[in-house]
Amino acid sequence: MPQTILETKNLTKIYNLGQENEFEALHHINFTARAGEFLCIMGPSGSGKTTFINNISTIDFPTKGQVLIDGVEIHTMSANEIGRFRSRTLGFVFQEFNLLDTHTIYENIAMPLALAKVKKGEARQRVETMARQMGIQEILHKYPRECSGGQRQRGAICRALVMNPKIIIADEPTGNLDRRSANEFLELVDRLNKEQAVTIIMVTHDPLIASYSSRMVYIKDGMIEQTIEKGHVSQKEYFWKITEINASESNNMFV
Amino acid sequence: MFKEAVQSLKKDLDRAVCYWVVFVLSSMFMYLFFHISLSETVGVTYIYGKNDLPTFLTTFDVIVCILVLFMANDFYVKKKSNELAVILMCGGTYLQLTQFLIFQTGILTALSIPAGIAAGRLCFPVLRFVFRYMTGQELLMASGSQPAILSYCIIGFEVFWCTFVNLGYSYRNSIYSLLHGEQKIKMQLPKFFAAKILRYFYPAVYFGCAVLLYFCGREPEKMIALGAAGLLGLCGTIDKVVIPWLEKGSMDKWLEDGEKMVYMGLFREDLKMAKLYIILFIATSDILCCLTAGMIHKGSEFALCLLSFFSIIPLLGFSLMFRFASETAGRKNQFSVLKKMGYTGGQIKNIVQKELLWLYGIIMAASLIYILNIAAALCIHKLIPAAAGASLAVIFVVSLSICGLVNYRYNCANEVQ
Repeated sequence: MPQTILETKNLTKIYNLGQENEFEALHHINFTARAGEFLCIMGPSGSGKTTFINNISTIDFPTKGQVLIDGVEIHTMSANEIGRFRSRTLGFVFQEFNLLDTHTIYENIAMPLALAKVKKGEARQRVETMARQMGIQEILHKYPRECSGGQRQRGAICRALVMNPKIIIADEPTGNLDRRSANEFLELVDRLNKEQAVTIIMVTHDPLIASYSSRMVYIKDGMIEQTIEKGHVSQKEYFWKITEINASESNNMFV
Repeated sequence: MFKEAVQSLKKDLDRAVCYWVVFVLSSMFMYLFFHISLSETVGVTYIYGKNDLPTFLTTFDVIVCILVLFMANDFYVKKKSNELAVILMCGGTYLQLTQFLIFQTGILTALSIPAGIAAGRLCFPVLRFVFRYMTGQELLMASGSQPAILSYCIIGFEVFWCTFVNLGYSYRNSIYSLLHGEQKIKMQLPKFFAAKILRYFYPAVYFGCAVLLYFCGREPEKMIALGAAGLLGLCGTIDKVVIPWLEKGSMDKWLEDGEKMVYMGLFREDLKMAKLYIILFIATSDILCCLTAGMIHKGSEFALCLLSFFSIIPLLGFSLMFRFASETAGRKNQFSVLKKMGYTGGQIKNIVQKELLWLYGIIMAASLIYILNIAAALCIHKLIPAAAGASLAVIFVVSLSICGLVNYRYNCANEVQ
């Protein structure tokens, strides 16, 4: 049984606590991610998916409950420890790219390496290898504003993967990509998961993308409503199960 | 449209306040210059066509104020391009876009000119004291409402003219380009000129002209020409030497330094924005110093020159400060990206500090090379006293240091939020 890499106990997130517009986005979520798992988070818009991954990845902090990463509670970590943890353990990919407009694609990708003080020869090699893998070696010297949406997303993916993180957190990473680029990204992530046992936690609306995962967690109204394991079924069967869960939401509308 | 304009002002309050303060300062200085040049002490010059120093000086000062206002307006309107695109998408007409922008700039103008004039009036005692201290003479301020009317007319005309020019720019662009930002068109020189030699040529022009200033110390007109040539050298040096050096550094030297890689990248972008300000700093200092030359025995004219310098340089400094603050108002997102990458709050503060040190350091160094050399050349030829030369440099350093400090506090507050 692989070890637990991430765990939440009674995770609750309340926005605007004590104010008139107080809103509980997540209610007492208990969740476990094992090392090397490919997890997919699905759910209707506004169900709390992004809030959930923000809370498990130290971007945001829970109002109540605990988040444990490798057995360490994030509230007990100092700012420096959290910084180091993000830099060495996590790789973020978001739909909105989140590249620094003031820096070239090369600099954006090299930034996590510079922060970790990786030797420049190695850093250069890693940036170039990663860029080649994602097919963006031609645009390394361009600024994000000079690149297309797909190219920017590939740049953001390179930046997330260049440190060889243990966990990749992705929020709708293929939302701005064409089908071909999306498939390439999925193949890369799948390879990392299978060959290097990188844990993937990905939010998506696309059942096809979710069918690459080993477990799908369905969040609705701030709670985990269902979890399905792929187990030994084929990807096609798994895909139909995921589609069914997503479709049941729409089916209920016709009742 | 009026309601939309007010909402847009509220939504973009930070930038509107910056724009408003630039307005207040410009109208205050303009009002003061008109007051001085129309006063009995200095002499009414426009009416009788006496084209002597106060006429040139006041015209020059007003032109600088107009330039500062134009830059602020240009920046303010262009940053509204997203909103303009939305209005166009909703079927907005040219007239409606005009109303949308004119209401906003009109409200800011209406609020700023009276404030500027009031601030100007509050400065009267200080101005009289400084004038008396410098010349031993009493400064009689112009009576009547002429300075205020002139300030109102010039600012009002300029604001409407600038808004129309900038609106024209926005309207000519497609909705797509308004939404995705302006595309910069780079002028490419023929290959013959784009050779490596330019990398040496531009710095040689910039530093060479600074040295040549000493040979022309007796002829201030030549110094103005040299200053202009030096500015060409400076522009080329920034584009062909400094920016490529910064680009090369982040690909090689700073690859092992996470903080340096970020702040040098930010500084590179800042420098592109600040280039125009460095040019204005040097051009203003050059022209004012040369106008001051030879006025050493004409008390009131000499004082007027120095007062111009003491007010125009801080005004340019403030304008730079507000431009930088507005540019960096959207940095919160960048800081949050850095945090996701693993940068700590302390490291981000360091980045902000170093970026500002580099930016203000380079502006000061590039401008002081000329300000100090011009002042020294004039001092050597006894055209201005050494104390005046030193005070020019001091006022420049002090005003820019204050602006840098304010920017630092503002950017750190952004980071903390």
